[in-house]
Amino acid sequence: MKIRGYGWAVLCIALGGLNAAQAGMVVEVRDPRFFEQQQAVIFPKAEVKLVTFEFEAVGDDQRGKQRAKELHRQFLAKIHDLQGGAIITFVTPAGQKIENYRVQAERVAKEQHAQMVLWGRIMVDRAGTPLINARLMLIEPPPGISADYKKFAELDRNSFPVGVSGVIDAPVTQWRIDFNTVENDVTPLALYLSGLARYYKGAVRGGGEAARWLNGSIADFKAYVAALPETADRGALSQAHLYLARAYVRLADAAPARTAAHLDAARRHGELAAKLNPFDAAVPTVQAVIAARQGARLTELRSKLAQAVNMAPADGNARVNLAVLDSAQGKVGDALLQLDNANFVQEAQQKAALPAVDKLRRQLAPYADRVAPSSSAAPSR
Amino acid sequence: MDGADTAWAYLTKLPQLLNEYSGFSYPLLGVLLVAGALLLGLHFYRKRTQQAGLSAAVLMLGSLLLFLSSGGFFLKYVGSVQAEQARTAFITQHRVPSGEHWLLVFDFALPANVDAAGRQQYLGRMENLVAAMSEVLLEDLPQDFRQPRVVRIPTSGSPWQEGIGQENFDQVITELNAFEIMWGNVHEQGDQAKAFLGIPRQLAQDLDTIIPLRDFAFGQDPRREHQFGDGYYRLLGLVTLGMALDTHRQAGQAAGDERRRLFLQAVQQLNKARELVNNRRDDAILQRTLYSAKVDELIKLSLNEAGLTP
Repeated sequence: MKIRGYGWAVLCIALGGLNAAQAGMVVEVRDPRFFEQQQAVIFPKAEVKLVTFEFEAVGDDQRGKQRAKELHRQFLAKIHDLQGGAIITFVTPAGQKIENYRVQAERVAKEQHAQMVLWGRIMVDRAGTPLINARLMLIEPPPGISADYKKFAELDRNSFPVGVSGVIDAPVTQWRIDFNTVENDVTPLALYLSGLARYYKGAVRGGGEAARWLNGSIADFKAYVAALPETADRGALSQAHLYLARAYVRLADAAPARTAAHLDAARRHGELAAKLNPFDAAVPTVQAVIAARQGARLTELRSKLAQAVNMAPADGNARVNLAVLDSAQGKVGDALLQLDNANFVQEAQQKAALPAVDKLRRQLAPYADRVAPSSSAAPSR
Repeated sequence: MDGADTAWAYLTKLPQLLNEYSGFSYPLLGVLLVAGALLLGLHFYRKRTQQAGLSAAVLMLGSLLLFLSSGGFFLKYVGSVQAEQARTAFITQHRVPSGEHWLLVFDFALPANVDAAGRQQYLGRMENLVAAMSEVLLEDLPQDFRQPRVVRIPTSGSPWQEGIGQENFDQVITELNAFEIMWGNVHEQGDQAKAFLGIPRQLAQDLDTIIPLRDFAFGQDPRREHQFGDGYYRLLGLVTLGMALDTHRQAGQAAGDERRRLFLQAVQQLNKARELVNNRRDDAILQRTLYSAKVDELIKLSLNEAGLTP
């Protein structure tokens, strides 16, 4: 069956209805120049779209195509109830390969307006076991979590109250997940991707509908972490726990009746994420947001945010978070220094200035000329 | 005709003799040259003072010594000039352009008993090894790092035909302007290899400059070890560490905002490298290098230097 607009180059193997809950298409690419041409967007109305490619195999081994199709089937089955979810899988006929994945995968996914793209390699070891290395890139990451922060502090010297309102923000900064080698079975990958797809959907909704998708996301990620031993893939497991923590925080907003329990669960998953990957700067920021929502002491919050800055010194957002906290502690000089540094790191990476910097600076402006750097004040709490 | 044959036989031996003499050391050639000159000098002195000259055999011996040792001197000098030219040409051909990060992989040393077919098969495996390593860096190196190149360097024709080791690796790195080099030996059985990674002394701080990598199956597809095995994490971890150390070195030489920017980049790269290979953070080699206390210190120091300590 051919699809109009793709000519002879593409053979459509499976197509779900565009408006149905299940939307999946395996596209067989026969023309080597296929990706050089402008492509029509498949499933243009999809809300969460995953693009996958066949796993690149050695020689004439066909298992890369088989496993990609298997992952396609499993993912499609898992998102059967996820309206707006879609998957497109590109494979080549026997004897052909899709090369140069990273550049090509990212470009193709962007053209397809996809949120996620997955590619990888496969090889068969001497014992005959297929080994799979999968790479996931978030083209458009889902929303993270945040905590509003409002404080009044009285400065020691002149008792001038400092009122600050800001946001401790923990966006999703891990845009790429390199899964550790898995043997043969793509089921854990399908669970992970399904959990992520549901998080995408739940994170932009509120109330009961958000709760539905977030609970689904939690169930999938929990099944993923249960399926793998702790040492199998610390990086991906840590990310799974981090998404669990985010999902619980969002669930606390969506279902306020159980806020305390959800935040406790979020905290536990944050701790597990930190244990599995102590080098991911996103983890302490997420932990700080959870702690802020649980009304933790300022010292605990500061410790987490400072940890995030140490681990990702070029992250301007992490510095703004710390500035919010310094402001709330009455450390106006320190806060302004953090904001200067946030500007510096953005400039050093040729990135645009963060709007939050100016916003906080404007709030601090009335006090700036009265306070020497590093002066501290007793916080109101 | 017998005399002519004998003379011809001696003449054909002459190049062999000259070649042999060119292998002598300069002091030995000097002694032989002086000995030949003395014999000839003594002969002519006697002739001049109306005395009987030396016997024909001794005279011939003196002439030969003089000819062979002076010829040896000449050939040895020409040989050394040619060797220097070849060395310069090799280094020019393989020297890494400034500002680039190239990991140079020298052909692994083979056991002596390998025949021509085995040697050819081995060269194919070296090509595969380099290709497998290049693919890893091309696909999986984070964007915080500039894309390095992995380049195979043939040992034949190189100035280091005796091999790379502790005594000369830093010289090799310096002369070829590499940021890291890899070399190794193939075991007698031919299916196992032992590889080493060398980091320039000027970058290494207090870290090991030679990192012995674990033995790997040289007879297998190198992708098994370097894309799907422990070698993957070691390769990524040690290459990113080397690049971060180079950024740190550059930061130390810079001034003003550029200095701050480079120290910031060094911390960012060190942290990213640690995050990247977190799945093997217990690996003994990575523990001793990337996850060492020395790198903790470098991170702190760089943050301070950048004025960005929270």
